[in-house]
Formats: sequence, C-alpha cells, structure tokens
Amino acid sequence: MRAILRKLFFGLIFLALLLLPFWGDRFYIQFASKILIMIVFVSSLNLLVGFTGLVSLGHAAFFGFSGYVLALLSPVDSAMNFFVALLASILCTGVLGVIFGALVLRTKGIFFIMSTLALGEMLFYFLHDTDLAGGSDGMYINSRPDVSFFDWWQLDLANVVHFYYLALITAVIVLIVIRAIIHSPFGRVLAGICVNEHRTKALGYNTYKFKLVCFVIASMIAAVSGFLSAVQFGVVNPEMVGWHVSGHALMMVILGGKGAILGPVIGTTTLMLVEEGFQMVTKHWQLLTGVAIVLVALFFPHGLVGFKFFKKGS
Amino acid sequence: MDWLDLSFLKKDLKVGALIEARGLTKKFSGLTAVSKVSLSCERGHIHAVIGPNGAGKSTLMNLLSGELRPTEGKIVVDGVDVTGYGSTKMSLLGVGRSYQRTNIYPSLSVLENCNIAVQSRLDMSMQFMRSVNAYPDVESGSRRVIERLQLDSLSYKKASELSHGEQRQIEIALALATDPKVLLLDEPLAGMGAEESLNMIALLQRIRSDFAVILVEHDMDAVFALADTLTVMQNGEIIESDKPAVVRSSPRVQEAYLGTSIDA
Ligand SMILES: Nc1ncnc2c1ncn2[C@@H]1O[C@H](COP(=O)(O)OP(=O)(O)OP(=O)(O)O)[C@@H](O)[C@H]1O
Ligand SMILES: [Mg+2]
Repeated sequence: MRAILRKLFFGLIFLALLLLPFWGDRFYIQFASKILIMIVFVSSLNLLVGFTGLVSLGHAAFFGFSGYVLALLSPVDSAMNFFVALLASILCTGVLGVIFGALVLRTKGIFFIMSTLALGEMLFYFLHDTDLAGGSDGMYINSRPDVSFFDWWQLDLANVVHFYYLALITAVIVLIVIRAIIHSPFGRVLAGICVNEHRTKALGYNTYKFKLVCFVIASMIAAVSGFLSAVQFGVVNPEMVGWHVSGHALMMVILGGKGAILGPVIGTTTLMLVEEGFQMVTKHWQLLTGVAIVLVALFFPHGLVGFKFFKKGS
Repeated sequence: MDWLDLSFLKKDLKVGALIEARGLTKKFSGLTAVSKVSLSCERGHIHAVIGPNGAGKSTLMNLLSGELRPTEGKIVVDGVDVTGYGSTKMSLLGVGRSYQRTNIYPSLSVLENCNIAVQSRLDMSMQFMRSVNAYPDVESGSRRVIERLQLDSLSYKKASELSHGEQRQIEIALALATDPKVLLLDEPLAGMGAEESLNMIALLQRIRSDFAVILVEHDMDAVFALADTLTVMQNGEIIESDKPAVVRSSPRVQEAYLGTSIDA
C-alpha cells in the first residue's frame, strides 16, 4: 500500500514539475531551475560522501571551475554549440578532478577533509587574486551557448521556461546515471570502501584507484551543474568555488540523508525552500535555518529520507 | 614406503611449500614484535601457531598477509619472492586471511558481504554502467561459499544483526570467497560457543585439503585436532616447532605456559 502511495506521490511531483512553467511566474520558474541545478551538484557530492565515505569540503572547486571553463571558452561575438561547450567543461573539470583527487586521496579522515578544503581555497584565491579570469569580479559569459539540433529544433537558453526544461531533463538524467553507478559492480566496490576500506583492500581491491575514479566522476557531474549555473546567470565569480558553496552542499547531503539517491533531492529542495521562506520573513534567516537543521538532525539522524514514507519496502 | 624418509627433502627444498617465511622480523620503534621467524606450509597442511598474549602471532599474520612490511626477512609465496607486497597484491596472489578482531561489512547483508569478496576475483569491478544483475557469477559464487559454511538461512540478514559466533563465520566466509591458495586464520574460534567451535573445526577438516593453512589459535583442542605442525612463539621468537605430539612434551614450551599444561 505504501509502495503504491509512494509511486503516486513521486508521479504527482514529477507531473507538477513538468507543468510548473504553466502556472508559476518567472521568478519561481527560475528558482526551480536553481534547485534542479543544485540537486545535480549535491548528488555528485553524495556520490563521494554518502556512497564512498569521502567527506569533501572542496567540491565547489569543480562546480565553479566548470563555469569558468565556459566563460573562458565563449567567443565574444558568436554563440558556441551547447554540447561542445558542455563536453569541454566536463572534460577540463575532469582533468582538474584527476589532479585534485590524486593528491587528496593520499590522505584519510580529517586530513582528507582539510586537504579538499585547502585545494578548493587555493583555487578560490587563484581566481580571486589573478587577472587571468576577471579577478574578484569574475567574468561574464559573452554569449549563451546555442542548443540546436541542426536546424529543426532549438532551445533558447535565455528563455526561463526553456532553461527550466533543460535543467529538469539534466537532473533526471544525472539521477539515473548515479543510480546506475550505485547498482553496478563498481558501485559495489564503493559500498565496500564506504563501510570498511581496510577489508576491501585486503580482499584484493586497489581502493585508491576506485576512489580516484569515483572522485573524477563526481567532479565531472559537478561540472554539469556548474556549467548550467553559469549559463543561467550569465556570469561566474570566485565565490562559486569557495568553501561556502561546498559546505552548503554538504549540509544538503546530510539534511536529506547520505547514501540514498533521493537524499540530495529532498535535502536540497527542503533547504533551499526553507532558506527562501525565512529570507522573506526575517533578516535573521540564517539563524532560523540553523535551528531547523539542528531539529532535523535530532529527529531524523539519517536525514529526511529516514522519514518512513520515502523508504522502500517498509 | 615408510622406510624411506623423504621429509629431509621437504625441509631443505621446501617441496610444495605454498607460503614460506624466512627470518621474518618486525620492529615497532624499539619493540621487536616478531624476531627471525621462519616457517612454511604446503597445500593440505595446517600449520598452527600458538603462544601467550603478545607473543607476536597477529603481527606475524599481518606480515604474511602484506598488511605490515617486515623490517627484515623474506616472504615467498608459491616460489615467488613477495616481500614488500601490500595486502591487495597478496590477496590477488591467493593469500586469504581472517582477522582476530572481526573485520567484515556490518551494515551489509551476508550475501552482500560475500559478493564483494567474490567479485574481487572476476574482472569487472571497473564496470560502472551495467547493473550487477548482468553478472550472476558473483552471486552464485557467494551462494556456494554460504552453503559451504551452512549459513544459507542468514543470507539476507545484516551482518551487524548476527550473533558474535555467526559474525566470526562471516569472517571466514570472506576469506574463502576470494578462492585463496593460502589461508591465514587468526584465532577463528575466538568468542565462539562450544557447538560453533566444533562446527568450525569440522569445516576446517572438510576443506583443509584445498589450502595451505596457517592457524593461530588459543583453543588447544582445535590445535591438536587440526595441526600437522605446531609452532610456539614467545616474545616474538619461535621457541619450538615440530609435530604437535613432540611440542606438547617439550619442557621449554611447558615453561612458556608457566607450568600450565598446554593441553589444558
Ligand atoms: N601496530 C603496532 N604498533 C606497535 N606495537 C604493536 C603493534 N601491533 C602489535 N604491537 C605489539 O607487538 C606485540 C605483539 O602483538 P601481537 O598482536 O602480534 O600479539 P599476539 O600474539 O597476536 O597476541 P594475542 O594473543 O593477544 O592476540 C605486542 O606487544 C603488541 O603490543
Ligand atoms: Mg593476536
């Protein structure tokens, strides 16, 4: 019975998401797109935190870096092909993921957290203090990439409704990809590393290699979200790579429940809505958000997915 | 062929020794936990290692499994010098082990525990887009191991929900599931009930012909029931190593156990 209700519930939510542009106004559609992009980013972080046991405080490096790749690649006068630009952002960010991952994965536990934080902040100061990419002001995306399939179909990314559907499709694809990874032989090894890395190593797995591949995949998925975010706002700045963004995403992972595919979806949506709501009623919204998070931590130690309704088969 | 004693051949040429330690020494900043230990074991044999607490038995196991690097000495597996290999490489070479302190996947089911171990022998672990269901070999391998240990009824139970004795059996299952040639068992009976112990001893009797087993164990009944060779360690050193019956009557060994008869 609950399973049917659950399916119905998620079906209705998806339908509502499909129809949202028909009744929401511009602001809300934009806000919904922002949430969807954030879901992609937080899901990529959850691949590390929830499914592999790697708590990163520097994941925003990949989110922001990807946006910068787009900004630096975009020609001044003509639009770039969307898919070429996206692929370039993902690949460049993947290279950064290999470099960062190879370094930070040499460490464990608290040292891992510290070194991800350190590398993220290094990138922040690099972008902030040099003139290579606009310094502290950041950069504008000269022209939004052009999504057209030859001549017969085209999306206008400046149109909030078009952009919303692009973000929705992307989020769905990313969630499906993450689900596939978790249920693959590779995902099984990640689960082993997450629960007991020592034994996994002793069973014949080169855990460093598996963690590195996972780290790079997570950085590339983060690149997708950073790319979309840059397209949405038409601008990138050093704050995108800062630890604030990383920490915020980590909060959403924990709030939603790590180690569940739905966790980031629920955590991100809840936190962003709550923050928006509090911002409308009071200047001290951050304080209220903090209180709300503490309450959730107290009553749902495994995050909001711990709420029975979301659980499979219970 | 009793009149022809070929055991000298085995001793000197190590015929068929699957695993061999030569002068292994491990120092921990000042403390010598294992000192010049040499031993070997061939297929079908059980080489038991006993000794009082702190004798260096677990450290020896950690050296043999690649978890610790020896300060001195050599490790040879199946004729290949593998000194300095890490635990991952050792496992892939066919050295499986169990731990004194249960070291399994508590939040996963028994089947999932075994799946991880079995999958390590099949070349697919980097596959990240296909479902595990596309590789039924893994689960069927796990089921064989689970059946061998008669744990069928626990397949879908979370390891953390099992009794201590059952968890000890999962510990063995993980080692067996990697299909090793050499089995290093560090106190497999620790904390098991009497009946569970008997079952485990019976299991080891049943499967012993497939492996070279190095067994660290405090339970003397098990040791005398199983061992072909018995090595006694004290303060990191081997004080006696021979057939169990010979070791039993050794005065040095009696002394090491402070007068308490070791078959007590
Ligand atoms: N990683 C380590 N660092 C420092 N000292 C260690 C380490 N591991 C073991 N030791 C020391 O080495 C000695 C041998 O320990 P070991 O665990 O090998 O003994 P054991 O024979 O297995 O004892 P038990 O019967 O209690 O399991 C002990 O004095 C122990 O304190
Ligand atoms: Mg020990």
